[in-house]
This record gives sequence, structure tokens and C-alpha cells, in this order.
Amino acid sequence: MSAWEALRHAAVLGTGKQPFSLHDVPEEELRDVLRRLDWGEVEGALLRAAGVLTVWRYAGAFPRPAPAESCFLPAPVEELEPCSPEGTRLLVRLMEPAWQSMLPLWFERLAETRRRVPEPFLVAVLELGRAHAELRELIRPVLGQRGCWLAQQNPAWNYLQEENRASWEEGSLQVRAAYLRRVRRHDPEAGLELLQEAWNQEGSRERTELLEQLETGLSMADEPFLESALTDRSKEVRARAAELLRRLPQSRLVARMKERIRAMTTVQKKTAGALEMTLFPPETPDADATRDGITGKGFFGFPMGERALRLFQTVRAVPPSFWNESLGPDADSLVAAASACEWAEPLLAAWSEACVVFREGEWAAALLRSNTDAPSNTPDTRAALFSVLPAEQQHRRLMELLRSGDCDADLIRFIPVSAGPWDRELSAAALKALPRFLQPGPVWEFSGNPVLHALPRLLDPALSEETEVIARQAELPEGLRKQHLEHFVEAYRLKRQIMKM
Amino acid sequence: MTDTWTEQAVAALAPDPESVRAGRALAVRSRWLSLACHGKVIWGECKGSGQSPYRARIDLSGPAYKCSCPSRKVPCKHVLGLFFFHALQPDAISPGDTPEWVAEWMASRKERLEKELLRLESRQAGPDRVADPTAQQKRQAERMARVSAGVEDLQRWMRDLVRTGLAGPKIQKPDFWEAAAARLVDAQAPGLARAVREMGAIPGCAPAWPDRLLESLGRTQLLIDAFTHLQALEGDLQAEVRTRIGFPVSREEVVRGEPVRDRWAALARTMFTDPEGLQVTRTWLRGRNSGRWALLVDFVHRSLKNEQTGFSEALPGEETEADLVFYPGVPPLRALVVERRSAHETLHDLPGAGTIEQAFCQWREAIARSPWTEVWPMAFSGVCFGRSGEAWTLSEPGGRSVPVTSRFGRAWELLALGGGEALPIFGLWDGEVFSPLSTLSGGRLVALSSGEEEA
Repeated sequence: MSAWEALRHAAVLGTGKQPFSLHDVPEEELRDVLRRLDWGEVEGALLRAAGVLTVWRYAGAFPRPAPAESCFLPAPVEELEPCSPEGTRLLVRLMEPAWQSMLPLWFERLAETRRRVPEPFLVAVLELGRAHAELRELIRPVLGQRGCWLAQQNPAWNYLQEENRASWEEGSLQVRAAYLRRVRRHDPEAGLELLQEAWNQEGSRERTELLEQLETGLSMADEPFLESALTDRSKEVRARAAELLRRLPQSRLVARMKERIRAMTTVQKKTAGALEMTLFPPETPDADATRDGITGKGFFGFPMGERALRLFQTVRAVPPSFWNESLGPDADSLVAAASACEWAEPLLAAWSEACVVFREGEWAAALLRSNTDAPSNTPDTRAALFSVLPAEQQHRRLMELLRSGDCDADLIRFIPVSAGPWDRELSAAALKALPRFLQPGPVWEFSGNPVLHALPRLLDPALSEETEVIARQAELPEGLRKQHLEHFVEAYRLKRQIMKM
Repeated sequence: MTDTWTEQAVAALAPDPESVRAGRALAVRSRWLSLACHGKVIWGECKGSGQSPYRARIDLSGPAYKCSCPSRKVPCKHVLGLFFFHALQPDAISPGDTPEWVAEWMASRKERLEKELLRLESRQAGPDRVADPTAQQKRQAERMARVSAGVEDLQRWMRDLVRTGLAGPKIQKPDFWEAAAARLVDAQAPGLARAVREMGAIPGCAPAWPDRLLESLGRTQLLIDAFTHLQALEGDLQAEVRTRIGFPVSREEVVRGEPVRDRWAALARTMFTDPEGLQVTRTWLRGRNSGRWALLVDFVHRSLKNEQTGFSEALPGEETEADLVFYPGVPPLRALVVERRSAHETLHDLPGAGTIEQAFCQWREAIARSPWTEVWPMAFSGVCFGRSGEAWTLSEPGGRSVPVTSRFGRAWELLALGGGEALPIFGLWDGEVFSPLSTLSGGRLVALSSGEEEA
């Protein structure tokens, strides 16, 4: 036992319980000092000896030699330039909770300009990626060499690690699905093969989840496999397979649906160019219908009888353009004819859905124009149809609505789903009309003002001063509306600064 | 560190989000009739709804601010506007001569600060400061008697502790230590009281706590012994012992000392709040030519924090030509700035940086001169931050290494800055571990602590 250990032992136990005397220490000077203490008064001497030994130890401290190999291999040399000081100022601003929704734009812009996050901010950015999964793919290209190096050292940031083959074998379902998705992105065929190999050993929950990943990179090459999945023993798997097949216009499932439609529909030309449509949806489904997803069950926005439901499920699986190819002249007359027939409701609803899935602009325009009383003509459906129109048509329609002068219900719904960016003219017209969107009314939802929220994304970045002038002139009283307006002005300003990066 | 005023920092000053928006809106040159700066002070006149324009002035080193507008919000939007202006476009503010209304404000602030400091000191010193010399001598003799009695009491108490043993349950109770500390405060020995309180925090805090406690007891014993033989010590060492026991040294006394003129670089700043609500700020300085270390200690009472009080003008990352006077002590460390002789300049290097071995030589000297030295500043010119097993270390390639405290909160940030390469680092060694406080990166000093430290 060393001298210090002896002292400590005696102090912990207490000198009252056990007599104590210090044995000699090897160091000569220390020995002299300790001997000079008055050990007749044990406690005081013990304390003094403790003090002396402590000072001796501290004074004698000598730093250890550095380890032979350095504990970290240094980070590789950077290839990209760091972003500008304005860029980092923006980043600091955007990390505030109110502005985090604009971070994706900042990261995208940084990647576009081929810059990287500067070193003092790497930790903050990596932490952002840890907390927000949707930012991770955007962070990866702008981390630079040091950022990746740093991430490798800290297990908390391992979300950047590429999932590899090992995770396919051993990972959780989430991880395996992510891996399959990644493979499908780069090489869909390889992804399909991977799934096929593992297919038979998977449980039904796994089969459902993994089958969904075929959505990435979906093509006709997947059709045979999906067709076979229609006879899977799990209901979920069958439903997913049918869903995916419906997106492939050349699949056998869609061909079967087309046959069914042809079998039940007659379109006749009447006088004055109008059409008459008669439909005979089958009373009982054919043998394959349930397997193809025509179940006659489910809720799709409004109540429908079983026969109507089956009609709906059949029609929605087919691109609307099929109708004018085989059955009638053009979209508008077919829509008019359908509105007059007894099966109008499910038919229009099905066409609306098919428009969105197959992105058929002409039919979307026709349905929007018709603007019937059908229960499927909801503001949400109209917005979805609008989003399918080509950008030019959208912008033209928006200009018309803006010029018309009132705060049309369509306008409020169409703007948030519109394709950006807008040109100078449309942006100017929208800004001029801004006061309309600030009036209390249906434009204000619980979560705020969707038009104000969407405008920064859409407006031409050059119209800077105009927004600030308009905001000042709006003269809103203090309150939520004013806050939202100021938030919009600031969001627009921030977006401009990001684009200037 | 001259970028401490970011948009976020300014927004944190504001009383509500509305003021933030209003302030930002005023951060445009067109809203100000006049706008200029001098050193760390910025002022401007802004047209308002009144007849004459509102005059706002701010001092970045405080922060301190004042505006003539009638708004009841503190700080008002004009003040925030000036701050935002500085944060967003610092170069757009042209330097100028201080107009009378700004100079007046700065002078009155300085006066108020001086008065506040004197008040704080007199509070700490106790009823000792009387003009009459005979009465003063009598008081000093009385004080000495009280302290001696208190020290004797402590000695008995410590002997009892060792007799009954450190394993006893009573030392785990905070009351045990608090009672002894309170008695020392009554005996006018606040330094010893603090030491006892710190010892009270040791039991149970780590597996090796009996060693830590015994070390602390041992050093306190040496202090008691030194005090008992005070007259036999040299002047400097006497002063050191008196300071550690808790005898106050007045500012007036210190200021009469021999000033040391040098280019002083501020390398780091830490803050902590003591149990009585006093915020203590420590700023570490290095004299470029003299090679001396200096420590500035400032106190602000918590209740004053909302007022516009400022403290030491030396911001980390800057250096300035100044005259410092040192408090008596061995080795001399705590100091006061008596006169600043030049403007602040940004630091682009780490003065005093050397090898780990050189720094430890200085530490050994310091401890040899005063066994109660608690921390010592060290500046390394190039160390790699890395891991050795579970702990972080700093190592010189081909040289020595030091362990880093497990309480270091900015490890990943430092790793990001260094990337495994050697960096200059400044920090404090406490005999066991090193606490990094700042580093040089991108040609400027970067703080590594969050500023708050534990006592």
C-alpha cells in the first residue's frame, strides 16, 4: 500500500478506531518533510501529510506521451467550397422553429451551387438530420468530406450510413423496406429480383410492406410478378398488387377492366350532336373481378350501392383517354353524356380519380369545366384535378380567376396546388390581388392561410419591394391575420435570399 | 467572437415577437436620419410620431441601451433596430464622433457602474470601511480576532472529522457542511466558508470521492497552518493566504499598485451564478510582451441583469493595449483594467501558445509558489482532439497528451473544427483534467464552452 493509500484508509476508517502511523516513503525530500510533522497529534499530522502529498502529486504531474498512432485518422481534404457568410447567416435564421420548413430549400440551393456546410455548423446540421428524417437525403450531398467523416465517428448520426446487403438480411422491416426502396431507385430489376428471392419466406405483413416498395421505379417489367401476387393468400397483399397494377396502363389487369367497360357500355349519337350513354353494370361480378380488386366494398367519399361501387372500382382502373379512344369522340361530350345517365355519380367520381392517377390533363380540364352537382365535385377533388393540368393551362386559368375580381372558392384551392414557379405577369397579378386573400373569410383555415403559405414558393423572386409595400398598405389590425401576413413577407424575403446564395 | 451579435441573439433581447418584427423593419438605413458608431457604441436618430426624432444609443459590450421614445417596452424597437442593423450589415454603419447626447450617456453609465461595484465590494467586505483610522485599526484587530477564532474552530472540527472517519453517515448530509460554513461566515472568513461548501459537494459524487475529499482537507489544513504562522510568511504569500481565507482587498488599494502595460489578449470567458444570485464572470487574459496571465473577475447581481449594466470591456477574441494592476497574490493572477490605451483589435493568433510540456512547467511553478492554486491557464499551439478509450484527450503529434474533462460539452464541435488535425487550444488545467475553453479556427478565436460553468 502506498503512503497515500494508507492515509486515505486511516481517514476513512477514522483515527479513533484504529491507531495510525505512516510508514516511510521512497522519495528523500518527501520523507524529510513528513518526518518533521508532529505525529503525537495524529489527526493534525494526518491532514498535513495529506496536504503535502497532494501538492507533491500535483506539482509532480507530468503529461503522458502522446499515443504512437493518432486516435483518429484525419478527415480527407475537402472538394467543395464552404458556403458564403450570408449563407451561414441564413442557416442560423432558418434553424429557428418558425422557419424550419424552409430548410429543404436552403439545402437544395447549396447542393445546386456545389457548396458545403462550413465546419462550425456541421454538428448543428447533423443534429437536424437526426431529428428530421425528411432532411437526411438533402443533407448528404452538402456535408463535405469532414461532415461525412464526423458522422462516422458518432453512432447518433449513423442515419447517413448506406443500408447495405447485411441490413437486408438482418435488419428490421423498416430498414429492409428502405434498402429495397434504395435499390429500386438505382436498379429496379435488381430490386424485383431481390424481392422475388425472399418472397416465399416472408410473412404477410412483410410481404405487404415490401411489395409497396415496388412503387419506386414501377414499370411493366414488374407486371408478371404483380399479376401473380393477385392470387396471394393475404388480402392486403392482393389489394396492394391490384393498386400497383392499376397504374400500369398496359397491364393485363387494366386490359381486363377495359373489356368489362366495353361489355357494359353503349354510347349513341343523338340529335344535335349530343351523346347518350347507357350502362349495364353486371348484377353479379364475374369470376376474376374480386381478384382484380372489384370488391363492391369500401367508402370513396360518398355513399354508393354495391353495383355502383363495382362500377366505380372498374372505371377508375382505366385511363379516361380509353373512353374517347374506343367509345366516343371527346372528353366534354362524354362528360355531358355521363352526367345525364343514371350512373352519373360513380362514373364521374371514377373518372376524377383516374384523371389524377394517370395525369390526364384534357379530361381534368373537361371535368373542371363541367362543374356538375355530382357529390364527387368537391373542392378537394377540383384542386386535385387542377394540379394535373399542364402548368401553362393552370397559369392561364389562375390569371382569369384573378382578373375576375373576387375571392373565388376555386382560386383559394387552386393556388396552393399550382405548379411553380410563376412568371412575372402572374406573380404581379397575384400580389395585386393579395388584399382579397387577407379579408376574413373562407380563405382562413385553422392552420392559417394556405394561399399566403404557398405564395413564397410560387412568386417570381424578383418582386421584392412590392410585397413589402403591399403588406404595409394592408393596414391589418394586430392579431393573427397580421402575423400571418408578416410571416409571408418574411418567408418571401428569405426565399429570395436563399436563391441569391 | 466579435460576431456574438447574431440575429438570434438580438431577437433574444426583445420583450415580445412583435418587437422583433418592428426592430427588423427598422434595420434599414432609410428609416434613420443619422446613424453612426464609435468603437462598440452605436447611435442613431429615427423619425417617429413625435415632433423631434427619437434618439437611440446602444453599447454592444454590455449590452446597454437607451432611447428617448415614449414606448414602455424595454428594449424598444428603435434600440432593436440598431442591434439588428449591426447584426445584418455591420459594415454599413459609418464611424463618427460621439455627439453630446451619446457621450453624456456613456459617462453617466460609467459612473453608475463604478458606484455599483463599490457597493458590491462594500457588501462583501462587511462593516470594515470607515474613514477614521483608529476606528479602522480597531475594527481590523477585531476582525483578526474573529477570524483566528473561526480558524481554530475549523481546525477542531476537521480533527474530529478525521477521528470519526470519512465513512461516517453524517458527512453525506449537507447540513453538516452548511453549519460549519455558516460559522466561518460569521467569523468573517468567507473564503474558508466557500472551501468548506465545496468540500461538502464531494462525498458521493464519484467513486474516488474519499481521495478527493482528503486532498481538499489536506490543502485546507495547509491553509490553516499558513494562517496560524502568518507573520512568518513573505509579504506576497501573506497576501495570498489572507485572500484565500477571505480578507477583502479594496479596489482603491489595488488601483494604487504598479500598473503593467502590455497588449492584453482576451482568450476566454466563463460565467456562473453563485447560490446568492451573484453572477460571476471570469475573463482570461494573456499579455503578449510580458508573457503574463491575468484574470478579470466581474460581479453582477441577478436583480441588476435586466438593467442596462455592462462589465469588463474585454471581449474574448480581441486584444487591446491597456494598463492592468494585479491583486496581491502568489502567483499574481487576478487583475483590474485601469486604463485602456487603444481600440480593440481582433485576435488572429493564440498568444502564449506553446507545447504541453512548457505549459506544465508553468503549472508546476504556480503550484510550488502557492499550494492552493486551483486552476491554471494553458495555451497549446497545436494539439489533436481525439479519443483514448472512453475519454477525450488532446495530444501533440510526437509530443505529450492531456486528458480532457468528461464534462466537456462541445466535443463534437471541436472535432468538426479540427477534423483530426492539430489546432491551437486554450483552456484550464485543474491538476487532474483539462477544460478546453477556446480554439483558433478560420483565423479567429472560437469559444468552446457554452459560457456557463459550475462553480
